[in-house]
Amino acid sequence: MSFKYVSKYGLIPLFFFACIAYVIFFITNSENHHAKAMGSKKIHSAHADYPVLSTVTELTYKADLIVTGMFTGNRVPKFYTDENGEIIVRASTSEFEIQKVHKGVVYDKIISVIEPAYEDNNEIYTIEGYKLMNKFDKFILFLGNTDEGAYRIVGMYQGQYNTNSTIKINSMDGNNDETEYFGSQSEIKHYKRLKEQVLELFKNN
Amino acid sequence: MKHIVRFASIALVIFAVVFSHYYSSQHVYASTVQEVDLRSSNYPDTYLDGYKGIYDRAVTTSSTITSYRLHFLRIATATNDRVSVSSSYNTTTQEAGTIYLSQSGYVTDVWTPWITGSAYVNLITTNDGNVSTGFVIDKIEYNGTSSPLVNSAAFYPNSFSSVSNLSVYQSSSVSTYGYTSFVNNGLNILDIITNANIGFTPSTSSTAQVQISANNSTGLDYFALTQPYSSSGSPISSVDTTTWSYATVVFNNAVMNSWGFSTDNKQKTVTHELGHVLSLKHQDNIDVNSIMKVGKLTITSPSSTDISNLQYRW
Repeated sequence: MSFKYVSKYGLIPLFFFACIAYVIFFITNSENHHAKAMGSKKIHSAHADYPVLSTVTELTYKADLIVTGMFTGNRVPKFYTDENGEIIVRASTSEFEIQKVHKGVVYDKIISVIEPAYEDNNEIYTIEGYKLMNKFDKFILFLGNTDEGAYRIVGMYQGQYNTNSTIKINSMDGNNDETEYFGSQSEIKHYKRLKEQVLELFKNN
Repeated sequence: MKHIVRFASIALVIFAVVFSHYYSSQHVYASTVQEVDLRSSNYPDTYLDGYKGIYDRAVTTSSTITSYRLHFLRIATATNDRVSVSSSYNTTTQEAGTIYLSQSGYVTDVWTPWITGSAYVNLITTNDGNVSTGFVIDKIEYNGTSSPLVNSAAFYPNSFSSVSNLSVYQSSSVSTYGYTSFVNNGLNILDIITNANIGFTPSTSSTAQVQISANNSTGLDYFALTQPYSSSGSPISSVDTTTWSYATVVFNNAVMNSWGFSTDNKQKTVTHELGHVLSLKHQDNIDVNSIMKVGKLTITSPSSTDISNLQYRW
């Protein structure tokens, strides 16, 4: 086989081979990037007017049930729509295993809780910065009765506390697994104040 | 004689300058009274018995406020219960500061002394079966200047490209739950702001730029929600710079009613949410007068701060 023949007929398959290899490399590389992006999903936070709970006294008063426990890992989407089928609120219903009851009466060890956030593979939808519970940490929840077959979290982000003391409270641009709440700086200050009181009253009780 | 006249003239000018400076200084530093609503938990109903180790209200103000005092409209306590105000707080010294009532009974119209920095209003109750209604603080008087978010800082980095003629669709649920007049009032209040190109046009299309509905959902603890969307139908985050294509607004009648909302409270929430439609952010400091403060409030229309922000942006 002469060089002239190779250059005339062999370079074309070689060129195609190189192109295919490049495309495969590009796709693989993109998937790696995508996998990295999964660790810091984009957060969409809806703007709300909501009850402001200034103290743990008020939280306690407004809660029908106060419990410590853990998220079981079972969660389903709960979307609210308007009359035209437009999704107006994205939330989730999560199973929660109760370890201790601080206030109220509950007969089931596992209860359903409506969380004001929803997460898919790429994005997080939250109302005013609420972060969904993980299944590794213990949480204190302030809950209210509803007619929707699950408990409501009182004051949304103000009614959920991760008892892991090393967890951070971050602003919107700081999403990672160590984040407890995504609020604005002033809301974070308010949440930290509430958390101090909640842990003092309920963590060891 | 000429020298005397010249000297007198100079002295007069110096006096005028000093006096006007002093006078204007007095105006700059004159105190301001702002309406607030700080209540003990569950006021005007009775408070919980036997709570110690926590304060009932923390007060933080703009960093530009040099001092302030709080006005108790009313304090009512039962035997062995106390209301006090302290400038610092920890669990052991919770009762530090001035005690305003420490016996069974009530007082009205009480001002605290002038306070610098944070304040903690403490309602300490003894677990003896005796309860009363607690306190309500209705005014703050402060020296210095309030620091609301102004101009671009008062807005999200994303918005409609123009709000001069936004189409507004109200679904039938708005009328079902009795919010039509609140919505129309809110739209009108914003529409008539002068020197701001804001306008709304009613629409019967459910794909209008502003799509308003109401519900009676007990599952989530919000009064109202606004969610903007891009032209591809994706929700827009508060830190994005994407232009809005449309926005949904929903009012939660069940939660507003469960918090005992008056018509003023409902109007506030509706106007507040329409403020979000114009891309206004929340205002957080207690001393700031704004429709964009969060919570159950009686302000029903944009404050002068809100209006000047809207004039700046639109």
